[in-house]
Amino acid sequence: MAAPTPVSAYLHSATMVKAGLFLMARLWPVLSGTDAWFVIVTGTGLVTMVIAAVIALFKNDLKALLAFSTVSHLGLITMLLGTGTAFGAMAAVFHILNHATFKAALFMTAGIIDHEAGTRDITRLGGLRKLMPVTFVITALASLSMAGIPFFNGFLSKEMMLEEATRTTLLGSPLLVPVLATVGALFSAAYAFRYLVHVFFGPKREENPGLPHDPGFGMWGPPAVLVAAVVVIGVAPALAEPLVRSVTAAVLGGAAPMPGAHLRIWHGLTPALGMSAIAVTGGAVLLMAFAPLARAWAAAGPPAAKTIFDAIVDGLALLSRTITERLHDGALTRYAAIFSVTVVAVAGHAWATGAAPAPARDMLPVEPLPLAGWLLLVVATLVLVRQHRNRFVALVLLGVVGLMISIGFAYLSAPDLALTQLSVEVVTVILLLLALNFLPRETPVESPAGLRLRDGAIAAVVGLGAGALVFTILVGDFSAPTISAYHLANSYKGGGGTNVVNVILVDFRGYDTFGEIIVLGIAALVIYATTEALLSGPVRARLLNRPVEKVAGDAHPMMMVVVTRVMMPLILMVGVYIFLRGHNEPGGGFIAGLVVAIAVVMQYMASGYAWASARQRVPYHGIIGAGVLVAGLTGIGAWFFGAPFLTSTFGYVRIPPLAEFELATAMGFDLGVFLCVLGAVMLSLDSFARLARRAGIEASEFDIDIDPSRDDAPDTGKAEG
Amino acid sequence: MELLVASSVGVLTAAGIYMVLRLRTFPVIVGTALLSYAVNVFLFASGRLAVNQPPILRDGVSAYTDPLPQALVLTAIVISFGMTAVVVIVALGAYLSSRDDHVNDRPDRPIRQDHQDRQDHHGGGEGAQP
Amino acid sequence: MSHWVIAPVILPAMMAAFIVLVVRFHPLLQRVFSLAGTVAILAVAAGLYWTTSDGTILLYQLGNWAAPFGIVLVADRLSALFVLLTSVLAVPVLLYAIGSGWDMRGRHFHALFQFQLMGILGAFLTGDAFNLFVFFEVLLIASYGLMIHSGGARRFRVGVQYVVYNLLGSTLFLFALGTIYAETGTLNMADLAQRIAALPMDDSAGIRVAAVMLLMVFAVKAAILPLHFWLPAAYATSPGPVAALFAVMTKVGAYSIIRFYTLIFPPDLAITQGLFDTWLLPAALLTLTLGMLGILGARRLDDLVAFAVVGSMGMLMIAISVFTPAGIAAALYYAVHSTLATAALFLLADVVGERRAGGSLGYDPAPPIPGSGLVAGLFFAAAIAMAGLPPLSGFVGKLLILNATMADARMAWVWAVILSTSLIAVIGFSRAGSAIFWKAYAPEATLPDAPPQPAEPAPPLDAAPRPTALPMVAVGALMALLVAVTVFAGPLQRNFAATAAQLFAPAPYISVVLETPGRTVGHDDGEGH
Repeated sequence: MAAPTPVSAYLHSATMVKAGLFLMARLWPVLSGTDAWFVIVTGTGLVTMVIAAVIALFKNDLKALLAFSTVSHLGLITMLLGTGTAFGAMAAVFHILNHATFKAALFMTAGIIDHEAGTRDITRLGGLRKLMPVTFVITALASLSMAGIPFFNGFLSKEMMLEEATRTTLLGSPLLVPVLATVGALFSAAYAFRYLVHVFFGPKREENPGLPHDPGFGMWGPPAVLVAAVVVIGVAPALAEPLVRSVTAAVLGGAAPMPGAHLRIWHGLTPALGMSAIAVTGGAVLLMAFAPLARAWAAAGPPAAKTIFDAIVDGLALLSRTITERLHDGALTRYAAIFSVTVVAVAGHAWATGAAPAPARDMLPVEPLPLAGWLLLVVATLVLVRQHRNRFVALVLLGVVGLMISIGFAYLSAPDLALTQLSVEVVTVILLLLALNFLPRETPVESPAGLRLRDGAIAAVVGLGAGALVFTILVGDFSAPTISAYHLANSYKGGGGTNVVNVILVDFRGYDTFGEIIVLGIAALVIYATTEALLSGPVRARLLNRPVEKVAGDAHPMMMVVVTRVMMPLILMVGVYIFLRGHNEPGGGFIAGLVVAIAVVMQYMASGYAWASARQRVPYHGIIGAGVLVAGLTGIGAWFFGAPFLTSTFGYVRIPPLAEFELATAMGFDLGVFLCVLGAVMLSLDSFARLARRAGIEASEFDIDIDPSRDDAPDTGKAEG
Repeated sequence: MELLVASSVGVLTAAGIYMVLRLRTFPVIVGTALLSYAVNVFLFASGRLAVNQPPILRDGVSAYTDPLPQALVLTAIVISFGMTAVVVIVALGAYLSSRDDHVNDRPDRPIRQDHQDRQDHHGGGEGAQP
Repeated sequence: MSHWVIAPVILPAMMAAFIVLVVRFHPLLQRVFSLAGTVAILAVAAGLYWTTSDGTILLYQLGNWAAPFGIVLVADRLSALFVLLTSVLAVPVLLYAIGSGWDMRGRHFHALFQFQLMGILGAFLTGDAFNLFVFFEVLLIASYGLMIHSGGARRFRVGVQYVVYNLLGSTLFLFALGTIYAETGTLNMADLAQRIAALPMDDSAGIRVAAVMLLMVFAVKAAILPLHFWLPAAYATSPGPVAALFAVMTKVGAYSIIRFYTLIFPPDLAITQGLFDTWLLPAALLTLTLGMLGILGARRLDDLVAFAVVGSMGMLMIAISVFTPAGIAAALYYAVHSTLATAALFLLADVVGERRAGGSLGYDPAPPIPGSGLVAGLFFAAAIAMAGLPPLSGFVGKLLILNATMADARMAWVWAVILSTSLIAVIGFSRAGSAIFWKAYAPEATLPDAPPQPAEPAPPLDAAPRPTALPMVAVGALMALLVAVTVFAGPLQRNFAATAAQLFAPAPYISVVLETPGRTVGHDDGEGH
């Protein structure tokens, strides 16, 4: 619309805006006929056609009027493509052709007028009929075609459009489309008349900047050619029929038969003719009442496209924001509840639509002792839930639960699991205790009873589901022999160990263990990095300002110091023992690592952080890194023997005073596990302890911290434990 | 025995889910710990139950329990320990940097001083400590 | 047996351990080693892709134990593609992290970055279901560390949510694996495929539950509605380069779905009929809609990109959920495109945040950022790609997906949702672009001696060299990759079609995994089946 006139003539009527139509026409064979296509395309087309026609009528700029008229006609064509009938497609094709001829001619005349009169403002134009007779004739022919007057090509395709409209039922109403189509055609006639009447009739305007006259042939020739086509097609539509038919066939793409209808002027007294008459008459009437209408339009605040667009976009954005922000309100409790409900619902559906076999295994008898353990477990869990607001109580009960599970593992033939569960339990509780040092000791009552009831119901359903699933598993059987038969059979001969669980961990599935120690190592690194981030930020000041807690009279009781010192080598010995026997008896690198870690933690607890860390020479980072490297390099070592990663071998060694014992390369791997576990646990606990140490501590003690330089120069990057 | 194990898993899962749905970080962490107990027992049970058949090869013994789930559970225990440690430090970081241990986050309500005061007021903050 | 298959896992693991053990005091050396390691992984990944591109399936038996008794790594076309995608992404992201100084705003960035790569690559390469769990955990725990890198109150708060939600996901994963083992007695993926195909129909309940539980685990990773809640806040809050790397993390979920639901639970498997084939597509459509609505409704640039990730995962899942070779091939193309595009957008959002006065990513008016033309141009290109407008790869990907869903009975729905949500996305991106770049005003009160300074949320911990051109080079590299993906759409698409064909004919995969002999020990009764 803002482009130079020949450019807009080309763009608006012929090519660019029709590219979209082309796409729709191309997709016609695939998509038309579906309900979604019909409602969306026809609906959009109709609305566009009517609204744009109304806006066009009240535009005072010639080119703006034509531009909105183009939008309206594109809406019309879109609507025709949407109806999904072959006749509609044919009408659309025909109208594309007709619209191109008259609209391009009109754009060019607008350019001529602009060029001659020096303005395109309709309110400043008038009476040009006498001054520019040639331009007048061209404009008259083209605009009458646009208005849909018989014997011009615009009439023919508009008739077809109206005929198609009478056959179209949208949203269940057979009247909706015809009425709207007529209204659109009416406004279309009105603005076509206005273009002709307001510019060429009426009084001459004296204030015209120049004296307008017809331009040379070079300027009026091209529109004249187009107008000739308008008239020729309008009088003898049969001439255009072969072109229209071949294009329509291309649009239909064989998806629908060619319509039998022919392009002709007279179809008899059809409803379409009546609608056409209404439109033309109504358009003329509208033009007569134009002055008051234009005032009313201006008073109503004409909807500028930009304003409408902005309003729509803002509305959409607000709607989207409301939806997404209500859904993502940051409430993890809601997210978790949705997760739980989804899982139970989907899994329940899968279960209900499947077939469960009858129990295949006999149940083991219930003995009194396990029953007591079970009772303790269940009661501890329930009390925990009931009393969880007191966090220390919750922690103690959590320990009880863990202990019961560990005993349960021992009872159910899993000594390794029992040992691991026990030692992990100890470390976890220490960790949570350290954390609780900073957190509030109580959980306040916040959620209303209704919410707790809802959560309880969700929890109960999930628990029931999990319990039912495990029960059916326990009384059912494997569908095929399990692969662990191979592990039992080959553990000794292939893996060199009699503790099958350990051989699986370090040999058959050593790769899992490799991943597992890396998880542990990463956990320690994350904890360390977080501690550093906290201590280098504003949190540090807050920690330093914490009120000093009441502590027991003697922080490092003599008894405890002595006992832990004596026990240190003993526990280390036990650790080595557990490590070495791991391949054949319950034990192994992981448990040994935890045991040694606990021994070191005891020194911290007994003698204080400063004393212990001053005597600790090897940085925990290094231990973790070394652990991963040792485990990895043990695995890589196999490459030099042409075997894959983690391939093990083993042999028996006899060092004279000792009994014969076994050395397996898997033990090198286990050593990596040991180091990684030790380093990770110690680095984690150490990081927590460092946070704690910031609180209530005399400044003089800083100089025996791990790295004093960090406190003064936080940007050296060398503050590592 | 199977019923005991199944009901333990059920009770632990239910308790874990209930605790995860609480509003403060500490109960949520306890909830995840309970859930990891539950799932460890579940995974262990996938090898079916056996009494007095530890998978440690002995001469003359031919019945062993399934060792593979035990190895899987060992891996899972260690991993869940690492996860617990991390969630504890992240929760601690959240609490220490905003003095608020709610798990829910309101993007439209930035963490400000007045917010912290409110926390302290109703006993969630350090003001409640001895 | 070629050791190259395991190199993408071992290399970053060893590199991370080395960085922690030896060079943790030397920022410059950390950068050098981290970058060298990542480039080496890229070289190995390219080699693997090349080797497998003729249909070869590489098998690596860890500990020399034959499947299904030991763990195996398998590199077929699909695995190699995702390994290559990850390592291609890692290099510019790492360059950006170095160039922007993000890596020195907290501890252990490079070690965590390498571990993160190890986890992602390990998950793509493993042929064992439980091992997949282990690598999920590796990549998750490393992502926790990266997400809260350099700290901050809101980051910690959102971090808690991210960790807890994923702990729930991991718990569900273990429940699913336990059920699968209890039903079948194996963990190897190829062996599972065989055993599940042989399960009797009257024993279907357990395996059906396991199948959907696994799918939900992967849906959590792939951020499919209604299990996506962890993603928007976590990605928006993460440091820019971390979020960019996370662009490939959601693809781990998509990869797992493709792998499991073509190999183990193929669409024609009778025992799991009526499950995911019913509701995966509606969920994907909802995910796409929600993601695009999020783009339009976002108040901040980082939220917008996070929702773009959700939307792109919805789009990807639409293509997957038809479970046809054409659908999978389209999904693979879209996965490559969306990974690169979202990563570029995250980096650009970070550039804007670094340069904008006050560091705000909100749509409020602010002075124009320095170098606005280049940033705006790159944002414009990335947004066009993401919204699926021609001429960039998003358009190609969208066409492929439209094409792939043509034969589906629910095609009308799919097309309507895809086309209308594209429009929403276009509007959303243009709103964001005009708010951030075009509506910028020239600050009137700016003193001549105080030009707008790039905002720095936290001062770097050390004075390591900080080349300022590097971030834009990294973003430019990603955009160049996007252009390359567009230009070479034809050859890529042929390759992906071959990948999809390989997935839908799993017999060679299964026979390579299960019939390759391992180490020889006395096989008395070892053959489990």
